[in-house]
Amino acid sequence: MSGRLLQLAWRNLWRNRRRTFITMAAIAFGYAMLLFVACLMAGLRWQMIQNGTCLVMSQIQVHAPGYYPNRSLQKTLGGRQGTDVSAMLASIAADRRVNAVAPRVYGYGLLSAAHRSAGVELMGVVSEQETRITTLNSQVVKGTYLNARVPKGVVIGDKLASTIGIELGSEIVLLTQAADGSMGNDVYTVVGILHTGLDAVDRGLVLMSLSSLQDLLHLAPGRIHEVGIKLNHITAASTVAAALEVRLAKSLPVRVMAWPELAPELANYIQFNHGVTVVLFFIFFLVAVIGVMNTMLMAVFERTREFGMLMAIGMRPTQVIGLILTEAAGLAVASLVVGATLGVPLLWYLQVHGLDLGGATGEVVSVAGVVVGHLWYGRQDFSAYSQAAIGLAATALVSALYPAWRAAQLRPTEAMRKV
Amino acid sequence: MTGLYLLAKISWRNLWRNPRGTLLTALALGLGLALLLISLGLLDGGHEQTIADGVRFGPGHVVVQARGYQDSSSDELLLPAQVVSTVEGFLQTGNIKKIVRGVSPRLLATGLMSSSASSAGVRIVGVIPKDDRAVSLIPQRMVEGTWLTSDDKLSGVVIGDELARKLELKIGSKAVLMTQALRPPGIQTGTASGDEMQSTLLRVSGIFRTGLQAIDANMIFLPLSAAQALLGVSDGQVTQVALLLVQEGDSPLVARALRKQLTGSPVEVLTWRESLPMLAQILGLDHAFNYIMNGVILAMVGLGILNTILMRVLERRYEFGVSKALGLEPRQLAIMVVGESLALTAISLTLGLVLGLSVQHYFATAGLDLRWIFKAGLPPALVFDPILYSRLSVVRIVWSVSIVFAMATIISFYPALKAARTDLPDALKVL
Repeated sequence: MSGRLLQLAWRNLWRNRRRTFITMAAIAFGYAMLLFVACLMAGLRWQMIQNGTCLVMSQIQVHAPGYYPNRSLQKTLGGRQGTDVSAMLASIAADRRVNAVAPRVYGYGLLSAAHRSAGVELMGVVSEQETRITTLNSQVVKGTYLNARVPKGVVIGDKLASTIGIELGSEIVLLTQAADGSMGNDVYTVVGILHTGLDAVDRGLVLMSLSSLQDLLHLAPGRIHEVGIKLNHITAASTVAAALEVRLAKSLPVRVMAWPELAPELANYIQFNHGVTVVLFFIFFLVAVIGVMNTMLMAVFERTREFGMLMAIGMRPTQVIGLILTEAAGLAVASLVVGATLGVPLLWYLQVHGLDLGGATGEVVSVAGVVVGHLWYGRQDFSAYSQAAIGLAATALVSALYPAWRAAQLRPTEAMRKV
Repeated sequence: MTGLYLLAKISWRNLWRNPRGTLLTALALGLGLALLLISLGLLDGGHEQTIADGVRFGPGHVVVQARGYQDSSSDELLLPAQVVSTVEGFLQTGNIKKIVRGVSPRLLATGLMSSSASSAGVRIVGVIPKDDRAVSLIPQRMVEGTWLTSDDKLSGVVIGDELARKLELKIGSKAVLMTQALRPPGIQTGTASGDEMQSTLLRVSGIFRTGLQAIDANMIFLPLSAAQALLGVSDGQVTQVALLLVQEGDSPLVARALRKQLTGSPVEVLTWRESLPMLAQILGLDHAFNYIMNGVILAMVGLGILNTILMRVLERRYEFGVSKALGLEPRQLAIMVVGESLALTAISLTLGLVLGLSVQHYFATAGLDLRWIFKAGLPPALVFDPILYSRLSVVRIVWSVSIVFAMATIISFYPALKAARTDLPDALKVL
């Protein structure tokens, strides 16, 4: 019997091709649109996380316990004795989820040039390693990034440069309190000026090589404050951070923090944004559901007469309902496949090329401390895709069931009188 | 003429001959419009909220400052006191007064703040407490103590919680602020700068938290007169005068009026789009995002209409056949179908407007609470208000209603054509 039912359903779908086509279009187009929106929204979220962490912060940071957020000079990894830096880096990089690692030293100081001075944050990095985890090097607008040719070169932000009145090649003096309590000061040359769009960096950061900052702060080469980590998949940040903390703690007391902990402001904004997009997506979903529901209801209601005929020639009401549900299910599945087929090139384009939102601005901008480009890339969000598919298919089935059930209640003669 | 009237009458009766079908269609169209209005309201509301918060953490909707300050951000560039009084006087006049919410003169400089624990570079903002309350959001974000109370030189200092934590300061703690006197550009003293350094003992009277690291870790607020004394600024000079308007849309108007008023003075009058280019760009992105979302939702609503109308025509072939057999001409049949569609659209749009505007009104007054999205464990500070208030202008409403109406009308021409072309013997065939 069920074989017959399938055959009947199949023939019915082909009997009135236009009706089938219209219903399919409603579901398929609605689904393609939902795919498009879900992809863009996931992309926005991912881009914010990515951009928020890739500039200076990095995705995971390893510190000595108590170092963050006060950044006390003395609290280096491994305490006053320091640690074997390269062994530690190697041990972190041994985790296969880790993409790259880089050591860092921080300090505060007073930068002076000519008549003016400003309080600045000093960051010491090893440029070959640092460029693998952050992208500050790509933000240099004048001069170059740190390089081995100028060991005592520094890179500063454009706002700091204009406030203090210094240019590329200027000499500056950095004054700071060193780890041993003495005052450290030395002369450096500005080799690069960068513009990130983040005020804290553009106005207050001085980037220099790890070893020269260690010299200035009177720190031994084995003493570093932080290890920055980049992962292969940023979504795993919190899990990897927890695992690393357990593993590293066996040899050294450490605190490992992932980006949501390091930048609660960013995590907060992403949550907010996520909330807005969830609400929007829900509204879009409702629009699609109404379209599908309406089309399906009408398509089945207009067939009341046909169902009366079927019942008149001996089909039981339950069989009629079964027939309609089979048709609806087949139609829904086929439409979703068509919708997904339409959507795939769109999703592919979004992920690869992105959507250009402001060719005119062409500049980097920052939102809540996150630099966002003007290109908006999509990102695949398969859970949203499948939820939308299930939702639309369920809508189609329920909307077919109601008029079918109503028709099945009627006596065949009544049903056949309906036009 | 009677023919047209008759056709209209038939159209109207046709609509109610199948009330279920009509209501279903009206509901689909109406819900589409309602959802369009709701999403537009939420998107525009979010947009306006971002502008409002953004300018209130910065220099307001319109700012008056010394010429060249925006580019150089050099603290030595000051506004003479008479410019400040001109601006304040001008804003008291007639129409302008009604569209301005607050005016706050501010003196900005950098300094070094030290406590027994540590020291940090800070951004000093000297304000008239009462005036700044009307412009800035900081006074509303106090977590401990109070905002500056009087314009008294001995009053305290208000700092951000990040700075308080870094310097280990509490309410009532004392801190030393070291500053360098501001020199007008061009005047070189020739002596070493040491003699111009000044340090003052301040008492923390309030701590705020905005959630923005750059503000919480850097900004300190002092009464204007105290800041002027500390920085060696005489004659009531300030860095800028920040204006907050009732409506963002008036910014260019106010800026233009002020520019005219201040012609000849060495000042620049900037709207927030110029003083906060970053914010303007973010909003540009936001705008583009909204456009895309509007486009998608319109396409979906349009497709819904198309489907519904096509479906209706499909199921009425028999009826059109009968009408034709009774002698209705193709043109008359077409007019009848279009008339029906228009009436149906009108009903749907009314339904949609009532529904959409009431939900929109609810979101505009009570707001849409997004807090359930926030995971527990995140710090409570919010840069963004977690309650989203919908905002929908009349222009937007008219715009969306007309677009939906136009779509429905254009789409209804297809079934009209189809109806006119009904092939008689074929259509009358019983299924």
